[in-house]
Amino acid sequence: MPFIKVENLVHKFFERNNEGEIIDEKNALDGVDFQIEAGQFIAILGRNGSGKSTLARHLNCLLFPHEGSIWIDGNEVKEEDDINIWNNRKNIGMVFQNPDNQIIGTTVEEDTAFGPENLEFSTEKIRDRVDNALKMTGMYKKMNVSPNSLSGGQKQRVAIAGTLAMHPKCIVLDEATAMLDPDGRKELISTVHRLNKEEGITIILITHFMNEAVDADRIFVMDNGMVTMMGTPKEVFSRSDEIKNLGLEMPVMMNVAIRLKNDGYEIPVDVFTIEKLADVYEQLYRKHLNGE
Amino acid sequence: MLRDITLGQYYITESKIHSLDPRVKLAGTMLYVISLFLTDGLLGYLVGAIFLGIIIKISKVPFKYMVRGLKAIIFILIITAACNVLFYQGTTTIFRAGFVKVTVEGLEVAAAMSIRLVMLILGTSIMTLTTSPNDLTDGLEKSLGFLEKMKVPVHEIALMMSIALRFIPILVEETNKIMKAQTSRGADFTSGNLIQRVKNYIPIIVPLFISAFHRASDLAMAMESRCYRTGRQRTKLYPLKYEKTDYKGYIVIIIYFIIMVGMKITIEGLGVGGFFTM
Amino acid sequence: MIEFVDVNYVYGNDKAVDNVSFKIEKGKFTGIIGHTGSGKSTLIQMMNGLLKPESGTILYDGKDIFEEGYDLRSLKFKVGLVFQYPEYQLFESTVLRDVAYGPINKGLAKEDAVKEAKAAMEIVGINEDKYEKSPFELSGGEKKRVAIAGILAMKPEVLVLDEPAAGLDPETRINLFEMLKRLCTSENITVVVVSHSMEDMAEYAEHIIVMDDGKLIKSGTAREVFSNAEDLENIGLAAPEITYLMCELSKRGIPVDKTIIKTEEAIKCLETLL
Repeated sequence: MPFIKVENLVHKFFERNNEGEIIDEKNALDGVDFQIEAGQFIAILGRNGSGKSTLARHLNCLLFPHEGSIWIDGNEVKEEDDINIWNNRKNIGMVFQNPDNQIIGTTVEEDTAFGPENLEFSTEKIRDRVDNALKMTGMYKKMNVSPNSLSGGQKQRVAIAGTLAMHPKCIVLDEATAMLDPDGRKELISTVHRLNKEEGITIILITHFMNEAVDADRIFVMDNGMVTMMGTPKEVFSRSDEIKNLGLEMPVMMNVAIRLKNDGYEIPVDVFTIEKLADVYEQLYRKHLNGE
Repeated sequence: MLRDITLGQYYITESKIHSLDPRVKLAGTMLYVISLFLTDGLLGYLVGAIFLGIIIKISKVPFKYMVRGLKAIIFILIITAACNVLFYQGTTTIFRAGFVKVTVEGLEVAAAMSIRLVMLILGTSIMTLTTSPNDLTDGLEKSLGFLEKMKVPVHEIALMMSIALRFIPILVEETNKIMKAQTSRGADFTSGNLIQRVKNYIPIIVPLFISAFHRASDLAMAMESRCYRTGRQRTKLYPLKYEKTDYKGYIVIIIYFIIMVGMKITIEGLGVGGFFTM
Repeated sequence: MIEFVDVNYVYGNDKAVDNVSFKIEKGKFTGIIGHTGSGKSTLIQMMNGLLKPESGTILYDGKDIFEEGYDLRSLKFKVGLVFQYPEYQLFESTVLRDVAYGPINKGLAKEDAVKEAKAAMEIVGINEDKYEKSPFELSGGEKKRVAIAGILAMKPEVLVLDEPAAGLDPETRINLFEMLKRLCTSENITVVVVSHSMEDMAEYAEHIIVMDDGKLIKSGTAREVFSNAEDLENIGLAAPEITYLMCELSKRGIPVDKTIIKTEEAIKCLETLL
């Protein structure tokens, strides 16, 4: 059984008139199917309004399916099953877009303690969890600082620490890098990669930045409430025409490689780094010099 | 400027006052406030001020920082003082112009009121400055816990207060930004009559409310995703427990209060009232 | 068009802007890059007179904007400033009324204001069926465009934008930059953009101003600024990826042009060598 299994998931948004009657409905999610194995790093891409956030909220039981089903860690998500819902929220941590709107505590440590306090842990256990979580995200030294004095990237790391303190098996980052500057983005991305590799935490990263997706194990591309592409970064980005039609853009290096290939040059296209592209181009160039 | 409001802000440092149990500080603040209203003589204010001065010294909150907080209320202070000076119905007239009459008694009352107000603000802000909002709400929650039995959601109210305090600086900054943005669109907040001016503020108030609602719903979601449930017991990273120093704190504040009450009784017994006559 | 001479701005105890001088030329697309807190936002808020410098002069069309008698209010209509996340400043009941707010403040009659509003919305690509909708019903990208239209409707000569692409998906972001480029070339509006994205700035800006810790580090053409990767790295910024590729290739003895900063040019260069 995969860690997360989503089958034919449909979520509707209803437009109501002033009397509260439904006048229109729209499928925000329109039959989503996928499976995620424990320990994977998944990136979800897609234009604004394609259903990414709605999907993320289902994984955390903040929304419930209108049709279809979700299994998390072997259990089916049911709206009426409270125990199951709280378990899922504990197991799947969420980091949202706006750093300011998800910090509850007035100091870093108070905020990190919020989850464990809700789980009714003993004081010693909370202390232990908070210290560990802050160490893992590199925020231990800032423990007693007010969140308002942190940079955006630091605030998001506190948000991650807040979920880590509940010992989640998976962390979902819902456009968590969107409001950060490049430094903050780098901090956050390297933190989640480390958590994925060292702690084996499954990561689901929803983002608009292609370069954050190229290191994922798998990429899901969403459009119109459906997952329209799924595969390794290489598989997904080699379909460059589709990528553009889905409102995305190509990673810079791979874009160059594909353009060269399309113009008839013999060049592999799964190149995401400057080094790699330089290597393959150099080969091509030397061959050309030798008159081959 | 709005950012100068230190009232309700937590000043992070380590001191004996900071580490006191919030319940002690709450009780202390309450007794201090009551003592200020009991007092109307110069000596009483002097004792109150000395006591406050010592507490501020121990708390390690720079006095300058506290005074900055007073700037925000200086307007209220001046108005109250002015009203008292101009309209107090005293007998010893110093100066008269039309229906306005400045009397010795008026001046006395104005001075007393101003001193009382300043001491009141300083006294209460020393509590908020030395107690993190979470401790403060914890303290309130524990102290008012008996209300829970009467179905008052004390815990929820306490949490709401603590969140509100966290968002004050964020919303202040946001207000500033929206104001600048609308000014850049040619908004004018200074001209026109009163109704016009109120209307001019709509372009600031509407976005501010909308953003506050957005933030509230984001925050609610973030809290839920971290397993927050209303009406449930939560454990604490720092559960409130009385230590030795806390009992000492209680003793100090009670001694202060007894002195103030004692002074009030003896002075009244001697029949020496009034502010300057002391 | 806009000229800063020895401008200083103090914020609390920090020098937010430290002795900065530069010129923004008419009709050009200028990019301002730098870290968070490098003084970029302060800089642009001085351009339309929202903030007054501690010392130094700011000239608009050769006139000192803080000189006595200068009409600062009308400057705000000439230098349109679009803040970061401008969608959060929408407030009217309909899109059309919101966009017309600026022109009405400018003193236009209602019909004229509506006309300007409509024209501005055509430029940003907001269709007529959206005019009577509440601005809060629109999608994020649309809200942003409506907010920009609100500034454009004041017919500014200079359009200044702070991180206009923040939070947008790639397609919407590219469309936005294409629109700004069009404003610059065909409407003859001077465009100034503050951005964190070196890639976008390399692609669209003609002139680049680099800020670090309140100081102006460099001001020059995009090519001059970006092909000097080292200078940018010294202050923790970077050149566009494509420029690094060219440098790497040149290091390996391949005769490519190291000063290339745009992907299209790079591809052309790489192909001519084969």
